[in-house]
Amino acid sequence: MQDDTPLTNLQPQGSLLRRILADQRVLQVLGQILFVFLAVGVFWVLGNTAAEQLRAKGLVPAFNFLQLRSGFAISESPDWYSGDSTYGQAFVVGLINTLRVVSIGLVAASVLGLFVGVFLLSTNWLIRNIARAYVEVLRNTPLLVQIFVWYFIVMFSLPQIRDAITIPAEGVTFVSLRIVLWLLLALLLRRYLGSPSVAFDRREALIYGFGALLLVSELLAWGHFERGEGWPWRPGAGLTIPTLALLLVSINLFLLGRGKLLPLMLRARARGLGLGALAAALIFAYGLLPMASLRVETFPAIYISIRGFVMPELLATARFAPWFAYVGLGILIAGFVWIWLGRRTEDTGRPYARGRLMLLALLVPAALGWVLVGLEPPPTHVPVEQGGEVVLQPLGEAAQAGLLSTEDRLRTTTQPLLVQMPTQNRFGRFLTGLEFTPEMMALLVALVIYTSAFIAEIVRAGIQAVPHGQIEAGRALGLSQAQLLERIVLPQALRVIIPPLGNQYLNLSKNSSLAIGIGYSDTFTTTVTIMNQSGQSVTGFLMVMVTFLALSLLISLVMNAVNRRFQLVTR
Amino acid sequence: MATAGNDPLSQGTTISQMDEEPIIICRDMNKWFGEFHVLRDINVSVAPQEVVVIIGPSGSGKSTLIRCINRLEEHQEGQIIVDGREMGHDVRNIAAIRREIGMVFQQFNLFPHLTAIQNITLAPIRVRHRPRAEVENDAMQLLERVGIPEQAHKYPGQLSGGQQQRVAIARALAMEPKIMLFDEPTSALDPEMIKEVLDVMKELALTGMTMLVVTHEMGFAREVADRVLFMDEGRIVEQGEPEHFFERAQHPRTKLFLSQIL
Amino acid sequence: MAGRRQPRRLDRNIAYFDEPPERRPPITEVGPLAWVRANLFGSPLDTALTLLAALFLVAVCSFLLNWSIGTGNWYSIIFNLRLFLVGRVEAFMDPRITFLFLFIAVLAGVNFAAWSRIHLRLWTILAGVLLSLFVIPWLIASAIPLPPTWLAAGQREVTSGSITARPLERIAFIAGAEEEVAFRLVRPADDAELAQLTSFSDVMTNTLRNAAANRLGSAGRLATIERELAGDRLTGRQRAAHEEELGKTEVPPPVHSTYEVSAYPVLLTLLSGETGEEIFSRSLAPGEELRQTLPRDGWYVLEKRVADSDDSIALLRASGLYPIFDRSFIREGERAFQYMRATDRLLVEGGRPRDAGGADLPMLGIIDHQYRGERPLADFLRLMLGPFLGQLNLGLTLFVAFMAAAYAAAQWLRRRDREQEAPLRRVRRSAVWLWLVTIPLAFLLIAGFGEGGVLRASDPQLWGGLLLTLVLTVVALVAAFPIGILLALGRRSALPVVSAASTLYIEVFRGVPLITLLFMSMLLVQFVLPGLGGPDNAPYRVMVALILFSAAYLAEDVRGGLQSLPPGQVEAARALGLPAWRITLHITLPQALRAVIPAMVGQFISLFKDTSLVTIVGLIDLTGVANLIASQTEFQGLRRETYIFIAILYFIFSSVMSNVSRRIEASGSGAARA
Repeated sequence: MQDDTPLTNLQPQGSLLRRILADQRVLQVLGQILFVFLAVGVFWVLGNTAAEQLRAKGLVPAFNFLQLRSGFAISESPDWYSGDSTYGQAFVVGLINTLRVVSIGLVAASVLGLFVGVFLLSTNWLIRNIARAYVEVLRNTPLLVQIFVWYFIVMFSLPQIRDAITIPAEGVTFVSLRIVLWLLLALLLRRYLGSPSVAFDRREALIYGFGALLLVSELLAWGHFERGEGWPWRPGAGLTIPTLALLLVSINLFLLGRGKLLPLMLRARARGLGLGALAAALIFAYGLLPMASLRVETFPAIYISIRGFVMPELLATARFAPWFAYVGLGILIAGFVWIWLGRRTEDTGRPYARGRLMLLALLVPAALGWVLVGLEPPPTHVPVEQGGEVVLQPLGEAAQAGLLSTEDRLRTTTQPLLVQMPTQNRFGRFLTGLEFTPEMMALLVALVIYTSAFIAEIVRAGIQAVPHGQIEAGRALGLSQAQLLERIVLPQALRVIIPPLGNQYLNLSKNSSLAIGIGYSDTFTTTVTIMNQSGQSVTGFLMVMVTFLALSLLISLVMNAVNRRFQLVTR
Repeated sequence: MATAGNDPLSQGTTISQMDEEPIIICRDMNKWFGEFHVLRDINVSVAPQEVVVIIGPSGSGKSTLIRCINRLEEHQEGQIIVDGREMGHDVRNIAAIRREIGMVFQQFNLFPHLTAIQNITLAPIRVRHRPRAEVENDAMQLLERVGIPEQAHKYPGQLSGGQQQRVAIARALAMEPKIMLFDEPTSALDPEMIKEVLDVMKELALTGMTMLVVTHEMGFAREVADRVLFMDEGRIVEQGEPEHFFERAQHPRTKLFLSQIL
Repeated sequence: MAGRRQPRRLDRNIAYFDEPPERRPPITEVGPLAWVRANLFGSPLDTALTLLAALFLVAVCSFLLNWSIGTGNWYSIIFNLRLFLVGRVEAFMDPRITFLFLFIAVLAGVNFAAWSRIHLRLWTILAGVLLSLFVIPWLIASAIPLPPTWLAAGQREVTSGSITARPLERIAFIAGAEEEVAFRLVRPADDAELAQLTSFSDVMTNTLRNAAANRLGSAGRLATIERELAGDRLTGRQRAAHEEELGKTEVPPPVHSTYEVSAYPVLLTLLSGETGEEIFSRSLAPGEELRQTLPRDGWYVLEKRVADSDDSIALLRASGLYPIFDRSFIREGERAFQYMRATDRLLVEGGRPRDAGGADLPMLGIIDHQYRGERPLADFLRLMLGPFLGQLNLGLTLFVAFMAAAYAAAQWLRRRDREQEAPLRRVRRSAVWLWLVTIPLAFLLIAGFGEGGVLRASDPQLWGGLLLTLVLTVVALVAAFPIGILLALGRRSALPVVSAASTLYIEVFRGVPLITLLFMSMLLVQFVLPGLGGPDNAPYRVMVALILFSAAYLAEDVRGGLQSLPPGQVEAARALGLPAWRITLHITLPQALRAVIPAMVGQFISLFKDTSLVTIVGLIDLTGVANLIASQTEFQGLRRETYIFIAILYFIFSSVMSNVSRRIEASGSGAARA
């Protein structure tokens, strides 16, 4: 209905123009136009000055220089790059190097940060405080200084390639067969202690007794082998004076456990320790301890030297593709098993060993595929170069003579994967293996360790953000420790952890540009070289900025997607 | 909407014995939050010195209605005329109308970084451009009127909820408004503090202030209100003098609401 | 069928005659033992972890201690302290910087009085620490004698590895009046003694020492190879390598007998450096000692000769002769000569003694006469720690004294005005005023203006060290502050264009690494603002980048604060009729800024660390100084000591700041008083 009350006292205020200028909406539009005008004006003036200056120096920004010959070599570059490649290709090499460091760094920093974060919450005072010191020192010193330390101090202190640190060290170790004995005993003990009827005292005594038995016999055996003549105990020597002394000590320990001198809770342990040591001494004295061992030779897999790190390389051979089809099948089956069993559990309430079955579903096709793929016989003869001409030789002979190149081996092997161990020539140069330069390792290690300190704090804060009541409620419901972690703590902690974690990932990717401080050829270092050679600084900076913005955007997008998923799951 | 009894505007006019122009007029007012139609065809007018209490279930649009009157929310259709000025896009009118309207919020919204007296004097000094000494003098009087002169130099964080709300009322009054809007002023208070705030409001009503009050305090409505509005789903369902409203409500929705609340 | 079951009553007819006495908990549950058990040995896994961690800790600490006591050349710190603190600024800057330093002490004192309290206990501890800074160096200097200097004489060349050295016949050194020099001809019994010679030594002695050490080393290596070949712990490859090495390794004859070390007497002559007059000339037999007190400060020349027929090497253990730092520099086109003794900073100005031909005589320079060998703890204390603390004590004491005075004055003001309404607020207001004065004052003192006078302009190119780091940090933060606030307001603006522009700025500057911005400002700012070109203005160009960069981050901090405000605040202000700009100025900004003080301190810390990047664009900030020292001839390539030192400095500053921020956060004075 229409009201027709006259509004006598409502007169228009001022002229039309004044009313328009007083209108909120008009004011907003005007304000924005003014802002744009100002901003464009400032940029125009600055840009004009810059353009004039650049033109005066003959440095007009353009992109066509990317087609020109770069003329500089890059120490960390793939095979296709050389001094004859173009500036554009040099930039791509830098980009690849950045991505290499960032991708490895993200994973490693997350893992390390997670561990340190858990250590920060440890109930163990020493561990907790070492972790705290780690975090504080790393967070309160500049990353650049840390990179310098890793590069100029740590990397430069590494030995020459001839004396490279090797992991594992080359040498011979003797693996004692007693391991089997101890494992058997431990299994038996575990089975016995598994029954709930064993009294607490006995359980304590048995565990400590086993520990003492193991420790004392191994100590005696080690002394016999390592110290030789200087060692007073001999296996099978019977009751000599040192053995008697040992027996006396252990009997006394046992008796101490029987008496009332010790606090109640230590008595069972003392009894166990005494008995264990007594048994060990007797077994040793009468030569009942098996002393046989296996001789094992170890050869280096990783070489660490002032020239960088060299590691074994995992190569996909010609048969990798068919094998991978089997693996894919396994993944499919495993996924299906996981979902199906999950539904079954919810339908029937019966628990299934879902993890184990899934693992089985994953492994069986992979193993089967490995065998099936290997069934096809390898070629009997291979072409090898001999004295400047190519001749066909039987495969076995050629392999024995070391005439096969890596490509040949990849083509002829029956395995889908090949582990290529590092091999050196006579001058210490590495012919095979994955090589990382000291620059890359210094940058990577510094970035990972620096970022891990921040991630550790985030993890700690995230876990602490879960109220203790949540854990108690979970316990009250009878959830196991693993279930508590998986279903209650983690989902809530992750919700707090993921957003700042994304920030740290962004920081890591940006910080990777500090490579220029130690001359690792990442995007920025390469671009600076390009800019110095070509004089195209404006274009160069534009390329670098766009690259890093794109990288940041990519990481943000991924982290936002992950974040959304967790927020959804937990609501 | 054929019967005269259901016509809100004509009824309102009869009840409040309007001799003069209404000080607030809402005509065919509509407001949406996105797709959601919050206020539908609101027609209300309020006479000077009238005390109007708005009740209704939560989400019925009561708060939005009074927030539209001083443009804390923008309405999309219809007219709001306050004291002869239309509340539209004209920035001069917005400023002028806001100067005439005081508002008290559910969450007090005192400025935590200012003391009680600074809270009260801020707007008179900065908006009305009055001398500080005079304003401070007035502020102390206002604080005495709401019963807490001794708390003048404390920060809001040091005051109880009831005291904070009384400071908030004093703050609104310091601008010497013609109209006071109360948006559930007692909802965030502990029971023992509600009374001290309601007493201040009653006293204010007695002095002849025009008041629009959104509240769930039915006792207050019965005792002080000149008119009670019942809103549901963005509509004004029924209105009337308190006795009439509480004893002989006509609309089934009103009856249901009253039966649940009383 | 059973009827209704009777409830069982358990408390029927039971009497307790032996009431259990109250007992102490087991000792494993309370006291230090319980703490140890709960915190270190809670479970077997815990025990293992504790032991591992303890082992790790001991290994790391002992490695670091051993290195810093035994090997680290801390002279690179002690003789470059000025460089670390202020860079290469002109000498006329010293009083100005001192004044600024003390002004900051006053500022700190007033602020402590205004916002927090320092208990008497803390003052006592501070005083104790300062006192010990005076006492410890004095104690060390009086209790521990200086180590000797080893000098060799002779006419024969000594070879070790690829290095061949010949003893110097004459060597110049500096000494003070009334000082005593002593010489002794030392005859080592065997190569082991020779290899373990530590302390300052000349190149010749060092070569001798290395030759002996190498000989012992190859003998040891030979023994190891033979032992390993006899055992069964070698792989085939290793065995082959060992056998090859065995064939190649040979042990030379004993070094001390080859060179007949100190077998014959040596003729020592001491000359005054300036006049050439002879102070003594004597022949010194093996094992014999010679002492002489010197007449005055300045240069002396030591001549050590053996008989012409003699083919041996004489080894002299000298005391009173110590290495010299050559601190000569070019000032206003002329070369100024300054020589400083390493052990006590004895300074001699003026040219070195010359030989008859007019060429400079070789002097006892630190480069050729370094401390060699593993340093014992006593020498570390005497040569390194004592002098280092001795350099710190005066500055720190002055700082603390000024701070204490300001603190006391502010406290007294507070007490005197107790009758007044809010004395604390007045102290706080003066603290804020002091802060506001500090920034322009600091700028005035550091940059200066004009040609002459006390406040004449300094060369920005020479700013460096901690000074430059702090200047860059503070300038970047202070200048970025208003820009950051505008950007934050812009990003939250209702005007979409303004909001989009602010967001674009913020995201671009946050998405790009700082180092690219620094390079960009170094290369491109001069095109946009031609006034900032040239090497002189490098610090200003860097500031542009730092300001633009930190503005984006500050904007996000401030935006966080604005977002944390309840919307009711703005509504209430609007309901009061306040215009938008007044709402921002009086209501939202004050609250938002208080809420983000901790975040801004965090920003300050990270900016403080990030200024280290200016090293890469060629500025000599704290990190740059560390690199610069590694290029000084005296400390060529020494980076460990300098990096450790700057890391400690950065750490101290950052952790003090983060402590402050944590305290602000905990006290709640940063957050709105809600």
